[in-house]
Amino acid sequence: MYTEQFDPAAAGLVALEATGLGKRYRRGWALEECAFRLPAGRICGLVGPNGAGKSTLMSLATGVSGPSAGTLRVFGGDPRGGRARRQVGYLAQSKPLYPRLSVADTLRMGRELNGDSWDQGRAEAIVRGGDIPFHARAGSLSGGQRTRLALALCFGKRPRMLLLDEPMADLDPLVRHEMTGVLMAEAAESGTTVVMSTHTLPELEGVCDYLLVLAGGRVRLAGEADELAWAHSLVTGVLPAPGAASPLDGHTVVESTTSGRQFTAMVRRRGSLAPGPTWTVAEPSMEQLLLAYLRSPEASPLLTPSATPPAPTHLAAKDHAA
Amino acid sequence: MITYQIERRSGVATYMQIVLQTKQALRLGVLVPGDKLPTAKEVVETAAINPHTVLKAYRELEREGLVELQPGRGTFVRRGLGSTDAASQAPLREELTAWLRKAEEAGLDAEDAAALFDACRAEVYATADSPSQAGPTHP
Amino acid sequence: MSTATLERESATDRDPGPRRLLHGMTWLVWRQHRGALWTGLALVAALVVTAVLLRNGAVAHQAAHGITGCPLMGGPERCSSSLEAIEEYRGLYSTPLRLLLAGILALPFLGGLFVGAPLIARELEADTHRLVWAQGITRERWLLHKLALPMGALMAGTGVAAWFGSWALEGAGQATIGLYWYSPTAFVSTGPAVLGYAALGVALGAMAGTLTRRTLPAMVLTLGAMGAVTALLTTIRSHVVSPVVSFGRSVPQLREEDWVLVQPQAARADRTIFDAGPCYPADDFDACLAEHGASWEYSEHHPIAHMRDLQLAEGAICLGLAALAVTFVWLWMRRRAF
Repeated sequence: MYTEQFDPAAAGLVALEATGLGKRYRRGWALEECAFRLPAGRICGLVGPNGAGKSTLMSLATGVSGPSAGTLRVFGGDPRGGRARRQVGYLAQSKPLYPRLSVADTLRMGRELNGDSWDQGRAEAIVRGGDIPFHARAGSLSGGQRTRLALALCFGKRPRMLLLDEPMADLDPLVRHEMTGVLMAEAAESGTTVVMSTHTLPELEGVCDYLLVLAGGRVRLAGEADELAWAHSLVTGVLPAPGAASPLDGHTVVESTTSGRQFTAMVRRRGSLAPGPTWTVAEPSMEQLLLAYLRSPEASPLLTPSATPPAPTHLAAKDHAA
Repeated sequence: MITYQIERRSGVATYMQIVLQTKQALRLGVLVPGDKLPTAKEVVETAAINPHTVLKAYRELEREGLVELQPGRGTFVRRGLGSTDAASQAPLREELTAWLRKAEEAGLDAEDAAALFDACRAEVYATADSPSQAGPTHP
Repeated sequence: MSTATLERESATDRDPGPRRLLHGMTWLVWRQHRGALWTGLALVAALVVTAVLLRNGAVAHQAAHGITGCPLMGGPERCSSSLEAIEEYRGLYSTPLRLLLAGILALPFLGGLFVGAPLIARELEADTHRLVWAQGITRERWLLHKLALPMGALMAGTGVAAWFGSWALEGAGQATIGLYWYSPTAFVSTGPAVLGYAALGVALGAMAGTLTRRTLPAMVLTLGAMGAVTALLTTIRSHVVSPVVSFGRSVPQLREEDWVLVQPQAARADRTIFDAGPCYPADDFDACLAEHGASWEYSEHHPIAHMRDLQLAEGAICLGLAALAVTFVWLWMRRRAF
């Protein structure tokens, strides 16, 4: 069993840990054999195409449904237990609020339904930051104000982990920036672990320091964003002649495209990969990396050590260590 | 107080943008010793970036001896970054101008010269600016 | 708006004291349905006032005309010449009393329609079930409060109204007013069965909400289901408790308030009803019957003593159906993943 001193994460706490996790619905497996770990205190982007299993993972992590196979632990406990329910906050994509409740009553609802753990001052401060009148009805608020109030409810609960389903999807760029700021500021102050699902990749750059990429119900990438980027190189150059030495030899090619004489490849490095006379090597941006993995479902998954659950043998971990 | 302008698609790591903008402010005199840097919460609220990025940038600045983290109070500027005075810059500037003229004669256009300059700068200043420091340190 | 902050600060300073009546889910349910609650209370109050006025008026009218306790026909000596007075009395009070009882019967329907149907459907429509499920309470607790509080309130309000309804009917005199306990208008709205109907209204509404996920269709479905259940129970009502069967040589003594299911009529020795039609033209009717071996009298009726049993049995059937509906909603909630 896992003990804290072996944990590479600085805080030593694990917010989410899945082993052999699977969830089957009538139409098939939404998640299958997922194994990953999310250290506490991270801001994690949950990325994947529609139907990749993001929502399923969220509903498992909030304890609203149970897994069909394997286990998912939230701070070491069952997400369906009472302790996890108090520790986990969740914001649905539609940012539901009771339209006829006033802002003050919406916050009161948070207080009534969360008991002693509720932080009224913090929730009010977030609302006040947006100049939202407390007597206004929730149904009359703008999209940004709704999001702010919903975030106030989330943070008033003082969760140790906050799950956000496409939180910025329907906001205009200005409001999106403002809400991301609120989210980051609150996360900074409270040290709350944040998991936000998205399929707008540019949204993640600079915001998420951890990534969990799902595709087809399986984990494709998991780990620190900069470590994942660091482990890869974007190679661009002249297509080597057949039989000639290629700069990609010995490295794992995630995705490669050729057009005419030029080739572009996203590779997972094994050893060093230096620029050569006919090719250049660059570190990929988060977006380039994610796109490459999302486009290449056959590429083997990669988990950094901190994202690897302590199973006796794990191929992805070996792969990365090599 | 300084406000950071973060450009997400610039290709420069976010924490490095904070480091560079802080240094720029120190050079320009926007920040002087004793000034308090904004808290991580303040930075991320306006810039909408990951809080760990800010802490990483401040740690980097502290490592370079420019700022000091005072637990419970904040981050303060320890010393300014006076740009090298104009007198000592003059000969360097002359040499560079002379080199650029040579480059032009050799048939390099402005972009070629800039690329060459960047390549050389990368070699010389490799240790200071390289993002490799951000790379992982595995046990 | 610093009042909330002040309240909280002072609340932590003070010793907690007794817990507020409205807290947690109770507060939320109250806050969501307070409009319906006030409307319901106003409705019940109006019905109660109407019942009191009707009873007082009816009692005074009967006393003034000396028709207290008089049926339209028959009855004691003093009633023999009061036919016109009773008809005048009925003309004045029968319709208002029927409307009162119909109003009481409508309460479970209204409750089902305007409280039960939106209970789940409106949450699903606005996605707010996800909002509440993400708070620090269990879904079981959520559903329990959501169902039990409106159900209890509706049952209490309807129960009070029904008690006053039965009190008004008693004052008006069933035989005098010509409105009997077993009539479809009075049976439910003057007895304990109405409690079962109230519970069923909310439960069916909630179930309709889980099925349709939209408020308006849920209301339509609730109305249809409640109507169907009421029609069905009205039809089978008399068979839920076995009636008193009279079979003998003489016509049984039936009282004015008895619910006669089978009028006394000629029967054979094997208790089969004899169609006496062919005997009517006969000179000697009895001899004609005897000739056909139909010299027995057969009848079925519920004496007024059966009233409570019948009402309780119907209430129990409704509660059983409500329990089924609640179980359905419960299982739906357990299976639903957001």
